[in-house]
Amino acid sequence: MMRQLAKVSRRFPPSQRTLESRAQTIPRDRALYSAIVDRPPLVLPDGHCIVVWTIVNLECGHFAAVARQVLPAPGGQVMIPDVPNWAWHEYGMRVGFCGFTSYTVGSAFARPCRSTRACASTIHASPKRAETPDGNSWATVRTRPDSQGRTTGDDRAVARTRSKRLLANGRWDGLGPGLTETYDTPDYLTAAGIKYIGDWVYDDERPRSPRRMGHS
Amino acid sequence: MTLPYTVENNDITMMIVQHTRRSTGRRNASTHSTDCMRKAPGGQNSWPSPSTPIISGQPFRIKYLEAVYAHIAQFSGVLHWNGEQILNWYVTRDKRGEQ
Repeated sequence: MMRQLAKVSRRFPPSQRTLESRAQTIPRDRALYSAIVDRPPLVLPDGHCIVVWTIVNLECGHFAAVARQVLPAPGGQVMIPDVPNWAWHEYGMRVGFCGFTSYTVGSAFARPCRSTRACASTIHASPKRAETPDGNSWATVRTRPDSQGRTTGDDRAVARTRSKRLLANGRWDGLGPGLTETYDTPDYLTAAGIKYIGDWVYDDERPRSPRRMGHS
Repeated sequence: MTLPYTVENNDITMMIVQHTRRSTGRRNASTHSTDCMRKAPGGQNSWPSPSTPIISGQPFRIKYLEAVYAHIAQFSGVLHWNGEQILNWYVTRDKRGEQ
C-alpha cells in the first residue's frame, strides 16, 4: 500500500496536482464533445445486439455512517450509533443476498454474467458474502472502502481498497459509481491501475476514461 | 474507461430515494430493456442492471427482479457479460480498428 501511495505521489507531485485541479474544472478539458450519431455504431460479436451487465451491490454499513438513511431519525436528529439504518443494511447482507444466490440456480442469472460491486469493508466484515458463490463467474467491481460519500483523499482511498483486495484473494479492475470524485480522481485511478469505472455516465457508449490535460 | 451505469435501473434511486412501489423496478427495467433492444442496432448496446440485496433481495421484492430477467430472456441476441468482459470486448475491437 505504501509503495502504491509513493507511486501516485511521484506521478502527481503536489505542485502539479494543484495546477491540474485548477485547469480541469472545465468539463471539456476532461471530455471532448462527441455526439453519438456522429460515431459508427458499435457492433457486438455473432449478431448479438445488446449486452446486459448485471451488478449485485454488496454494501457493509457502519453504526456511525450508514450509506442510506431510509428511516429518518425522530426530530431529524441523526443518532450515532444509527442502529435502525445499520440494521436494515445488515438484513440485506444476511437475508437479501441469499435471495439472490438461490435465484441464480437454473436461471439466466446463473450465467457468467454478473459483477459484484462490493465495498472493501464487506470483505473484512462479511468475508463469506465477499466470496464468489460459484467460482469465477462473478467479477468484482470495488467501490469506496467504506461505501460512504465523503472524499478523504483519493490516493489513500484507492490504495486502501486495493490493499484490502488481498484479503478477498481475488482480482478486480473496476470501480463502481458514487466515488464522489475530486477534479484529480481520474488521474489517481489511472495511476492505481483501475481500468474502468461506473462514474462519468454521460454517454450510452463507452467513452475513454476522462482524459488528463493534453491527452486524448 | 467508463462503463454506463445508469440511475434509471438502480434500485436505490428507484425505490429507496424516490419511495416508489415494489413493482416499480420491474416496470422500469422491463420498459428500459425493451427500448434498448429497439434502439440497439444503431446506438446503445449495453444495459446495466444494478441491484442491491438489501433492496431487491428482500423476500417481498425478489420476484420482481426475477420478472425482469424473464422479460429479457424473451429476446434473442442478448449477451450477459460482466464489466471485465465488456471492457475486453471494447478494447479488443479498438485495437483491431473495428468500427
